[in-house]
Amino acid sequence: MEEKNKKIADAPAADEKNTVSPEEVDSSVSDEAAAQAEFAFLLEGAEERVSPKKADDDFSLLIKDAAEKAEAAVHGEFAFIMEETPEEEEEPKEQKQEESKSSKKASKKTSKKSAKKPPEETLEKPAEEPAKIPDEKSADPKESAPSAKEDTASESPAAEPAPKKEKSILGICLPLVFICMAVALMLSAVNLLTKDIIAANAAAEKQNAVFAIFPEADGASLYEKTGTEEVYLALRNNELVGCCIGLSENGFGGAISLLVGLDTNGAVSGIEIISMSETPGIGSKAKNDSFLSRYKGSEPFVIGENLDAISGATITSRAITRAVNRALEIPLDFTKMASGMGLSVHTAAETKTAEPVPEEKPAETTAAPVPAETTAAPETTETTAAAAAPAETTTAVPAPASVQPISHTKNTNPVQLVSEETVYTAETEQPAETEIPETDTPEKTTTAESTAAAETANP
Amino acid sequence: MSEKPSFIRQMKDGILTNNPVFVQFLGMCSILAVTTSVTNAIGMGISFTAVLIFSNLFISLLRHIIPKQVRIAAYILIISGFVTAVELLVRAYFPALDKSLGLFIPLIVVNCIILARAESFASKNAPLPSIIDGLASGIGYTLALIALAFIRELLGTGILFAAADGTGGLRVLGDWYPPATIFIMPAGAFLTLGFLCAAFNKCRTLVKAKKLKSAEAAKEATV
Repeated sequence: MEEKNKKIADAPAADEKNTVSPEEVDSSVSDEAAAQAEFAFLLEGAEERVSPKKADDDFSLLIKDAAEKAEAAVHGEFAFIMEETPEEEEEPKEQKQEESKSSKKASKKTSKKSAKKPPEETLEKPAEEPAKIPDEKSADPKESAPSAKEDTASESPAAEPAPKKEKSILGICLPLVFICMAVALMLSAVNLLTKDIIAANAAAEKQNAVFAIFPEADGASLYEKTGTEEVYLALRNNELVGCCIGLSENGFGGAISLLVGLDTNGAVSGIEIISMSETPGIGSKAKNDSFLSRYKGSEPFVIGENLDAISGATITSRAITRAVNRALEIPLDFTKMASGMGLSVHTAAETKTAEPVPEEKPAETTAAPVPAETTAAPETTETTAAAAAPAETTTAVPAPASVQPISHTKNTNPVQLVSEETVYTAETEQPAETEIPETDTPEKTTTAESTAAAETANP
Repeated sequence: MSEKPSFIRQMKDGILTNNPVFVQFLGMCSILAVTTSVTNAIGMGISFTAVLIFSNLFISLLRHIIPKQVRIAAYILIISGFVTAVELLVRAYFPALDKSLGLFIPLIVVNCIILARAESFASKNAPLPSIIDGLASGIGYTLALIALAFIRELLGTGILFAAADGTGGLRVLGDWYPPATIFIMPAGAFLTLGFLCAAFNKCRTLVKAKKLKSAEAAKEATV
C-alpha cells in the first residue's frame, strides 16, 4: 500500500501537473492499473493539502489533523472551564485521584447531576487523544485529562486572553455532590419517620371501605392480590361474612377505583367507591347511594335491562357496571378461602331480590350431623312442594328454593357449611305449613315421617 | 430597595406590592388547579410557604458555596428535597389533604415562585431577610389562593369550607341557588383569576394615585 502511495506521490512531482500521466499508470502491473487510477483520482485534491514533508502516511496525517482541530475546538470553546490558575496546578495528584473517584461514585447516586455529566464526558473524550500523546506519566486517562488541560492551557499561544480565576470541574461538582448527600440524608430520615404511618393509613383506608360495605364485620384481611384485582375477606367473630373485590375501571375522567362487596352467596351486597374523578355534579352522582344501591343480586348487569344509568353520565355508569360484572365473574370458593384462613363460613341472610337464596341446597349435602334428615328432606320437600303449591304463593323464599336441587343454576356454591339451626328451621317450616290443610290427605304417613324425622333432629 | 429591607416593608412587598400571583403572575398552574375548595387552598398554601421558607433559608446559607455555573441545579436539588419531605409528612399526618391535593404537592418543585425567590433574593441576601422574604411571598400566595377558592367554592357549590374529602362544610347559599358548576371547572378558574387580578391591580393603581396626590399636597404645603 505504501509503495503504491509513494509511486503516485512521486508521479505528479515528476509531472508538475496534478494528474497522473497515462504512461506511468501503464507501466505498473496491468491488473492494478485501474485501482491505481481510481486511487490517484481520489488523491487529486488531497495532494494540495498534504505538505510534501510529512507525506509518509496519509491516514496518520488525517488523524493528526483531526486531533489538532479537536484540540483547538476544546481549547477555544471550553477554555473558561478548562483553564486553571497557577495555584490550582500545584494540587497534589493523590487528592485529585481521590476526588475524581468520589465524584464519579457520587455522580451515580443521583440523576439530578445529569445536566452536568454530558459536558463533562464530552470534554474528556477529545482531551483524551492529545493527552495520550504528550502525557505518559499516569495510566489513568481521566486523571491525566486535567493535567493535559493544564498543559494546553499553559502552552496556549499569546493570542489567548489572560486566564481568569475560574473553578475546575471538580470545584464545581463537589459542592453539588455534598448538597446531594445532605438532601438524601434528610429525605431518608423523613422517610424513616413516616413510612410506617403511611402504610398503616393505607391499610386503614381499605379496612374502612370493607366495613362500609359489611357493617356487621369486625375484621378485614387481604386474601389475594393479582395484578388487577384484590380480594379482601370480611370477618365477624371468626366467620367469613363476605368478600370485597377491589378493582378499577376507566371512567370519564380517569380510573375509578372501587370495592365490590359480595356476600357468601356470590351476590352483590354493596359497592364502595374509593377514588374517582368524574365530572362534578354529573358523573360524581355515581357516588350516591341512590345509584349504587341499584346493583343488587348476582346476575350480570346490563344497562337498560336490569339497571338504569345516571342520566348524562353514560360513561361513568358503564364503567361501574363493567367493574361490577368483572367482580361477579371471578370464581370464588368461599369454603376454600375460609378454610385456608382457619375460619368458618357464615351463610348470608336472604337478600331481597327475586334470586332465590339456596339455603335448602346444603340440606342434601351436609355431612355427619343430620344424615337422616338429608334423605328425608328431598322427599318431604318435593311432596310438600307439590301439594302446597297454592299455599306457596303467600310464603316467601324457602318453598321455591326447595325446587332448586333439581335444577342447577349457574351461581351455585358447591359446598356450603350451614349451621344446624338453619336446617332445623327450614325443616320444621315445611311440615308446619302443610300439616294443617293436609291432615286428611294420604300423605299423612309422609308427614308423620317428616315430623318423626324433625323430632329426631330435635336436640 | 434599600440595602437591609425592614420586616414591615418586606412583608408589605410580598403580600401587596409584589404579590407573586396578582402582580408577578407566577405559579398560575397550581393556583387554578387547587382552588376548588377553601380547605384545599389553605392546605396547599401552608405546604408551599413551608417549602419556600426552608428552601430560602438553606439557599441563603449555601449561597457562597454554590458555584454560579450550577446554581439552578443546586436550587432544584434543595427545593425538591424539601418538597418530597413535605409530601411524605402530609401523606402521613393529613391523608385526606394528600388525596385531594394529589399531584400538586410534588408539583411545588417546579412552581416558579420558589425558583424566582431563590434566584432573585435568597442567593444574594443573608439568611434572616431570606426567611422573611419567603414568609412574605408565601403569605401573599396563600391569600391569593384563599381569595380565589372562596369565590369558586361559594359560587360553584354553595358550600364553604367543605372538608378535604368533599364532605361537610357550611351551606351558605341555600337550596334556592342552583350551583354554577362552571366555577369548579378550569374555565371558571381562569375567569375568576382574571377578574381578581384586574380588581387587585385597580386597587393598587388607586392607592398609588392617592399617595401621589397626598405627597404632592404635602410638598405644596411645605413650599
